[in-house]
Amino acid sequence: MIFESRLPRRKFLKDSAAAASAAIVGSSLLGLLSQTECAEPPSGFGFSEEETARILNRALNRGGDFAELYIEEVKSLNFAMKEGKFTDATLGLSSGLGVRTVDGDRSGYAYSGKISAAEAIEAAATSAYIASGAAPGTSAPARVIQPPPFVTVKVPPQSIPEKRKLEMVAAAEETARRHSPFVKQVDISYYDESKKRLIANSNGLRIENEIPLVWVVIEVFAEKNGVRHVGRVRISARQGFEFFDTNSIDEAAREAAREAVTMLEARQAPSGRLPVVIESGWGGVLIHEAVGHGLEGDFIYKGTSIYADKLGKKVASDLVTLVDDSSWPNARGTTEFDDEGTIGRRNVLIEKGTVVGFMHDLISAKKLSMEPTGNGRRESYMHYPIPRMTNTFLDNGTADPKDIIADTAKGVYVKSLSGGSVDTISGQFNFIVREAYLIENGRLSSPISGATLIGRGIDVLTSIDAIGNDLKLGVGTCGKDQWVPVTSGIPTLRVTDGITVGGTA
Amino acid sequence: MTMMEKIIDKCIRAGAHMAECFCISSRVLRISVRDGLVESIKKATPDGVAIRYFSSDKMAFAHANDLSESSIDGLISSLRRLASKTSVDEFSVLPEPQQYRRDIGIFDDEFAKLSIENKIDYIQNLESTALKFDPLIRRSNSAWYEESVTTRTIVNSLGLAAEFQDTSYAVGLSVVAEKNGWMYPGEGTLYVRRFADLPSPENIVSRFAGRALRLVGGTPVESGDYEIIFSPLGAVSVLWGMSHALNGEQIHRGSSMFAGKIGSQVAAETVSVVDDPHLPWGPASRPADDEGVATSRHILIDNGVFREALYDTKTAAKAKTGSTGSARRGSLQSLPEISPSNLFITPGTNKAEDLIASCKKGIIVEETQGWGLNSVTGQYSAGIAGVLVKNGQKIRPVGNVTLAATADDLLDGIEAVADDLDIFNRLSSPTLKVKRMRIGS
Repeated sequence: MIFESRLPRRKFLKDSAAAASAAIVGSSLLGLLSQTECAEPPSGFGFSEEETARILNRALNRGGDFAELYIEEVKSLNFAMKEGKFTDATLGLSSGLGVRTVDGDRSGYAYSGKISAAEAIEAAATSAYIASGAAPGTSAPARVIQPPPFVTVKVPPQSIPEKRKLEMVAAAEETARRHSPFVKQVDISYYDESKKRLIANSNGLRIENEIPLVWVVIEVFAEKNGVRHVGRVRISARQGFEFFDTNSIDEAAREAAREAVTMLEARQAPSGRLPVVIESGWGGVLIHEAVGHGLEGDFIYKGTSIYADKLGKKVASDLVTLVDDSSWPNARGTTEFDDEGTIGRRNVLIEKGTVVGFMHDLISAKKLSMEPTGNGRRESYMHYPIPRMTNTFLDNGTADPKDIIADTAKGVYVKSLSGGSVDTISGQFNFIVREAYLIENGRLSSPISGATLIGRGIDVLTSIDAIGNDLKLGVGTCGKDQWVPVTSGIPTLRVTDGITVGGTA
Repeated sequence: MTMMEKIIDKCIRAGAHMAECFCISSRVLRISVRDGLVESIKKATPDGVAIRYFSSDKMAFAHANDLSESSIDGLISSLRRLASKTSVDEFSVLPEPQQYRRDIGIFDDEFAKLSIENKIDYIQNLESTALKFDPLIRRSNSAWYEESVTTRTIVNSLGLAAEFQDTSYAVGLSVVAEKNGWMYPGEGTLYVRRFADLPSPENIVSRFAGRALRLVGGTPVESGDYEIIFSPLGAVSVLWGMSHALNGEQIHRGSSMFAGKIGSQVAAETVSVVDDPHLPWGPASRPADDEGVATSRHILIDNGVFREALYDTKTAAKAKTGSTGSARRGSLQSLPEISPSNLFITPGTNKAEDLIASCKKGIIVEETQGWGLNSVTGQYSAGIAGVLVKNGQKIRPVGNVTLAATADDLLDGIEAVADDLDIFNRLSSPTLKVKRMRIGS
């Protein structure tokens, strides 16, 4: 049972270290098994095209427009280092299947943690419950679709001996610990997974792939004279172990320690409306919360987004082009194809200030007579797909980031932030600053601590007045009833008005 | 021998000096409706096993939902190898066999007697009640019902064996209030262990849709200091931070604002915080935690004095104290972590209306966005929506403002606690009044 004890209502970008291991379903036997047995599981999880058709026909035997079979297997490995020790090592094998029947506005979904034809037939019988009246449907003959190569793997993480992963983590822990005598605790979580999916539907689509994920979270806790701060850096990609050749854990640990120690000198944040400059990267959570969720197709067709009637309308300055791109090579939010089998692609949502598109799954696309965009995602086989972001970013502008700061007389510079949340209905968002500075006369001055920033998405979009040329993606996990890995990114940008800083000074 | 005892036995034969097997099996049904139509029905039977394997004081953990013999054997041989790679941890301990209370009330005998049509009727009725509640409530996002029956089994090599079956029902509603072009959501979820304990549709609607009506069209007020009334929902943003600060691991590591303050005044005398897993039919009540430790009621903050933190077995060993029975597994995939059961601020004797009437210049904080109270630094910062109060009168809705306070101003500044506690969630609070906090706009 999930308790809604936290207030951020539905959409919340998760960012605790625990999220690294807990939020992602599954964990990893592949590497371990591959050292003892070499047999690759047969493709299609052993489900022939005939068998799949039988299951889909069962799901349609009370009628219905559409049926789908989803099968998943996630193998993962997680090491946690705390207080200088590898306290936790977790390996896991999570697998299961789900069957969905859609009949007009209604959908039935049933799932099972056991992969077998008998379980699938039983799930299909349950999902069919939703449909009624019409004659039984039949599934179209299978067309096997080859997924595009958006995720490439040179060295599967599972092929790397655990010893090497542990040494890499231990070296980074040492780096963070040595950074300063004020560093009191260093927590590092290393996670890798391999996720295999098969999707087959009654339109004849049949597609499968296997993609990896690596995810490292470093938290450094510093304390000085009773003042405390936790610095955090996360790195992640859907890529092989070669990811770490260009993304050093050691460097990330140094950065987390730097943040923790720097912020010990922070003073209270100001309160009220101020110009805010946000550094490129995970500051993209601003765009994710303030705008992204409101462009998801389910909120659009239900009329519960402030953007529902904004297609073709200007909502931001000419500087603003917003993109969701599930084909970005090897990024954390990249899918190759979404969890309904729609091939990933680059979708422009706002072009030079005008809303030009939404993010859809099959259902929202159909309701609005638009094309599916490859945004139908699910956390695991235990969930049915809904419209979700993948890699969402504001495209580059032309300004030099240094000039944006130099051009700001007074304001707040946000270097890093934790998570945020939005209510798509009111458009009200918030995000929580971790490292920020006052800007005085075009220069960064004292660090400031503990502020929540709030605003309304539409207000923020219209008051972005400078966009840099340094786009970067930041990595996170997004929750909308279900958790999925995403990236969100921005170039360095300035919001002149529309953001309220929640400090006490 | 049960499957789980067999798994423990296999671990010991593979070389473990200690092992634990946790199994969870649940049946879940979820029904959601929108505009009167059943939007989705979801049904499932997840099953799985999680194993903690200890060898020479080193621990490895695995979970799987393939329970075939070959899968389990593969898992154990991997665990054996993995456990040789982790660090020695002298605090790796497991609980001894325990005695459990069986009279708390966690399983609803009516569970199997309700038909799916009954449940669809109930949730359709909830939504239609909401849409008839007020002309400003014109749109429904969804109303949903979820029930589950879950069996948790814990067996360890010290002879502990525990099995509990519980039922849980959740009801959620999400509607939209619209006024002069403004939209505001009215949404929330309630949890109970007995179907009969679900509040009436009218009650649920007035909680969630009623709030949206009070908050729709909220605009900022001037920056400055205000008296703050936290509604029961708004107060969760305070209790949530306290629950993290009361986590024994955070205390032990020094990363809690309450670290080193056992026996000291950490909040105003009006404030007592209790974790009560024995609350009859409480939404998070349980006789045992997820390591099999028998639970008990704990007064964590007593009239403002920090008495006790929450511990699992391992952290308790480190801190040289006993487990409070507070280990929880977020899912089969996660190791036990410290987490409260039914955690609440104990009710006072004031009427919420009287606290509001006592405000000269105040804000009733009904909803918050963001973290609220930071458990590490003790600072409070959030976006809020609420109602402006002047000279005891409710004036108008407030939105798009921030609320902040330093640690001392908030917890020491809780002047009064109302008597309106109800417990439909893991974290619950009555209405609170805080002397002064900073509003930013």
